[in-house]
Amino acid sequence: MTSFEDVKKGLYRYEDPETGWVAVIKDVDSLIAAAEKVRDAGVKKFDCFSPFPIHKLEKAMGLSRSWIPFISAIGALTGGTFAFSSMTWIDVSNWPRVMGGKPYFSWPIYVPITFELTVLFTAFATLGAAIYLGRLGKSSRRPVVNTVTSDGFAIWIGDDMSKQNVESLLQGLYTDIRPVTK
Amino acid sequence: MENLEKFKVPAKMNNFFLGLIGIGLTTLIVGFIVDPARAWAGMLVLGFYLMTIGLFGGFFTSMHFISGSKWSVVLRRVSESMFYVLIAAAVFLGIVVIFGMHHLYEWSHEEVMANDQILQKKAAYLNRPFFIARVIVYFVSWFAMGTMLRKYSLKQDGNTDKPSRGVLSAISAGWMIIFVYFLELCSIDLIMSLEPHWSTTMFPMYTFAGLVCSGFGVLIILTATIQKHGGLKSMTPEHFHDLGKFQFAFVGFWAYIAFCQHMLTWYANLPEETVYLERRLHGIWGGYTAFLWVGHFIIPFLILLSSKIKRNPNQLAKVSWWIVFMGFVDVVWLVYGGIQHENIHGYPFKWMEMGLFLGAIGIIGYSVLNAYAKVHPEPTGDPFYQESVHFHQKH
Amino acid sequence: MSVIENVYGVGKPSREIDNDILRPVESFPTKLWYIAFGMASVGVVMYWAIAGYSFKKGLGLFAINSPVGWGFYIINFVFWIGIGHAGTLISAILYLFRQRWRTTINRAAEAMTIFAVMTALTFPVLHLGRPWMVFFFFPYPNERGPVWPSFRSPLLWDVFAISTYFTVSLIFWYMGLVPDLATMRDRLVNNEAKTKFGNMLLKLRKNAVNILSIGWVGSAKTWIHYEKMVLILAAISTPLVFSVHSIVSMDFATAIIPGWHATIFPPYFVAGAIYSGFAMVLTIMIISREVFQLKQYVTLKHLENMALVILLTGMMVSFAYITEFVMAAYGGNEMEQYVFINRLKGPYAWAFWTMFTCNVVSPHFMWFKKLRTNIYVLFVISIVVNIGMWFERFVIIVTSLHRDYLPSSWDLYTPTFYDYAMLVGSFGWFFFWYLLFVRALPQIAVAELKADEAGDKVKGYGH
Repeated sequence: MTSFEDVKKGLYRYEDPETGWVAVIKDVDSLIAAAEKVRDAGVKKFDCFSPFPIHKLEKAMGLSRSWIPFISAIGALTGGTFAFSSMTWIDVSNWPRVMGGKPYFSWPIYVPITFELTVLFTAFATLGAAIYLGRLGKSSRRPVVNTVTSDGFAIWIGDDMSKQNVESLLQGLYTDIRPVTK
Repeated sequence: MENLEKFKVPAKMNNFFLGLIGIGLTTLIVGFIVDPARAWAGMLVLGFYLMTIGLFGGFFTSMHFISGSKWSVVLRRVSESMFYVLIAAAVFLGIVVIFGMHHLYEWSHEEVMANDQILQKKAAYLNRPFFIARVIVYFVSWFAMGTMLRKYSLKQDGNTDKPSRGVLSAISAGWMIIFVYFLELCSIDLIMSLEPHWSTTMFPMYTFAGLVCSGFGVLIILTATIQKHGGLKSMTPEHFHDLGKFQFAFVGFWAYIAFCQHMLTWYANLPEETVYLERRLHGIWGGYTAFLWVGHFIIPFLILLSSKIKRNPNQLAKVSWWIVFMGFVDVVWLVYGGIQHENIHGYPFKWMEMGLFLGAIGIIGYSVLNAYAKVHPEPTGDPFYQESVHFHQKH
Repeated sequence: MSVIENVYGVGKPSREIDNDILRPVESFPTKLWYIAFGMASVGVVMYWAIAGYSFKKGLGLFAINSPVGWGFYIINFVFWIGIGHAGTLISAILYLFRQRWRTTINRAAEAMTIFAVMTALTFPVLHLGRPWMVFFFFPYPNERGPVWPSFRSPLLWDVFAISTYFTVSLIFWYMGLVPDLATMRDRLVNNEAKTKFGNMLLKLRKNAVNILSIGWVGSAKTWIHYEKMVLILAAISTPLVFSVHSIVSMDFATAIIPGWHATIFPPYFVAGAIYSGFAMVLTIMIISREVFQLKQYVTLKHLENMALVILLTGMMVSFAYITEFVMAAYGGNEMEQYVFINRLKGPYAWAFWTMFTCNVVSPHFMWFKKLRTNIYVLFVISIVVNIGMWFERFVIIVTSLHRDYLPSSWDLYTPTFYDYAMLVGSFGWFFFWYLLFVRALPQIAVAELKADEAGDKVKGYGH
């Protein structure tokens, strides 16, 4: 199981580049190497951009696990409990009726709806968590480099660093380094 | 093509399994002296349970070929060896079918048959010679197809005359069809006809779901054990993760099938179906049924949600031990619940069933591990072997 | 390492993949599309015109009568819901099984799911007779006294199952689209149209894509959560897809009508749903890859895999048919036995044998590699299978109802013109949406494909 410390560390979130430098990186391998170098240089404010998910980046950037599963589990529990208890309340105390000779409290028939609402609540919780933790929903945001949604890779270094430092840090990995313009 | 050292079953382990078999046989003998009715039922449980484990070996192997799976290549020899449990199953079921039929199957008594309108309609199907002939046909076909599959699969390690994957999948497809249809009939014959008035269409699926659940459990335990004692070095946590996922998925599948059968029977409440639940939801059986749901589904399901446990062979094997045990409990539930109640005294799971379960474990462990020790431990000749060894979970 | 050819790799640079897949979205529709869309629109108009007419005239327009209270509407409903299942199967179950070949077909299949569910949903609502009262289905605290819908009715379970299914599929599909929408957004940045009107359209388009791509910039910190979300959505969609058709089957199986009540119905319906759904995906993909020049992405190997799934599920469906007959024979219940004999020899035997030929016999052609790699054979079989699956529902519903316990109330079911028109119209309604989809959104999950392509070069990339 993931420890609570891991969960807390998982609270990292996306932040919009406002200061610093953006380096356009040549390819996937360079991006991973660059992320490792930046991480080892002790830079805290940085981010990588790629057109597709790269699992090795998580380790290279020093990111810990996403804690979405915990939120999903809470969603599942809420949905299931809500569905089962409200059906029980309605059938047993609010509007008890005998149907098909079955007892008021007939758990087997509550299972389908309980299951569906469990899934529905889990899906909403997961979606909400992904949007919140990934900081999605701000339509005016644009990528640091236009190509990172197609075939480009980029790394953003937000901590105070001179251009020379960034250049020497990413020696041989980048094709271009430009300041973040806001 | 590399040659790997054959697995050697440690002498201690062999003695342990032989000891368990001894316990099982002693239980049976004592059982026949103390309570013969129960002992016959217990023997049917034992035979049927062993049959499901043996059949799982064939099922897993042929599924592996048909689906073109690559990850499971390394552990294929184990699943092939599991097939040999079928021999022991045939012995026990043979004794039950030939000598014990009158003790178990109500319809085998002619006077019962003659006085029962519903049973008369089934007389053409449920009669002694046809019944015995059917059981023989099932086992002979399973054996024939299964040994052929194993033979061709072993040939892959040879240097000449290597069968292609296409040939192996064709044999697998043939085995699969025989397996599915004969399992259906077999579950009707051996279990459903214990309650001759009862019938439901889901039941063969239920048998199948239980078979896969305990089968994966046994496979996990065996691979983990072999690895612990120096075999199957190529197996990584990735493979156990996949086995664990399947175990998890089929625990869910069992619950799905069991629930649908239960709920639809309970909802429609038709006499010919409801008798099944009626016998199993009241008195002592109520608690036993609840235990089955909790133990066979809820507990392993919640534990297996964690991917850390699925990746750890030791922990996964512990969960699988529980599932394998619950699989036995399930067969007891089916058989004992089906037989007339007065024949089973007291709680359905007592010392005799525990003894038989230990015996079953002994038989499975002894026959599978020794069959496995005879063959080349990993199918290194398979074109996907390397890919299987270096296989990684993508998520 | 032994060398195994990577059969699914496209081997193109990312930019070219974008160009290939986004071409239909970024260019003007062809004549063929307009013709198809025109036909679909005629279907839609007909569909809703008849639906509207039936509000005024009542359900008497259709052929349902006293013993056969469920007719084409419910058949179509089950048929369309079944079609939808393949999409979820491809997007969720194949994802969990790490089947590489799902990548290029999952987007289209999921879209098909959503539109199929949208089609299916209309039927039970129209079948209410008073569809404006549909809100009665939802349990909300109301002023009608404590009056709640009956939670014991499988029809109410349907409401929950299908609305959940639709919502979750929509979330899954849309969230899968977000990175691709961002790709579209960033490709549009420098575009300019020549005319004023063109510029207006372009602006509209840019705005739409901007809003829909919800600020996606491809950050690793977003990807990590996103990937987890996809995994969890896949994990919950898998049991969901099982539950939906199981619950649909319970509409029948909870009843005590012979031929309807069978405990095997839930898994049997699920297998049938996957069977028909894959056939539909196959039909659509065969057309799409031809029309949109996607042969490099949806290869023969993909089609072959789908053919094998059809073979497998077809055999499962056959197994369920046989189980039903075996149990009817074994069980000894005369009513049950009569229903099955009536299916074989009664007035609807033609429907049964059509179903049997299409569903039980036709998939077996897929055993032969020559046939399952032949586009024409595949296309024909995919359509034949869906005809068979439609007839399966016809057989289950009509033959079980038309002769019940009381011979004096036996009656035949003869569909009217309106029944047939609604069936045809439902296809129009489905393709109306599907055709809009292929013009507006990328048909292949571009980001996922790029991840797979990158993963081909070095292990450990991608998901």
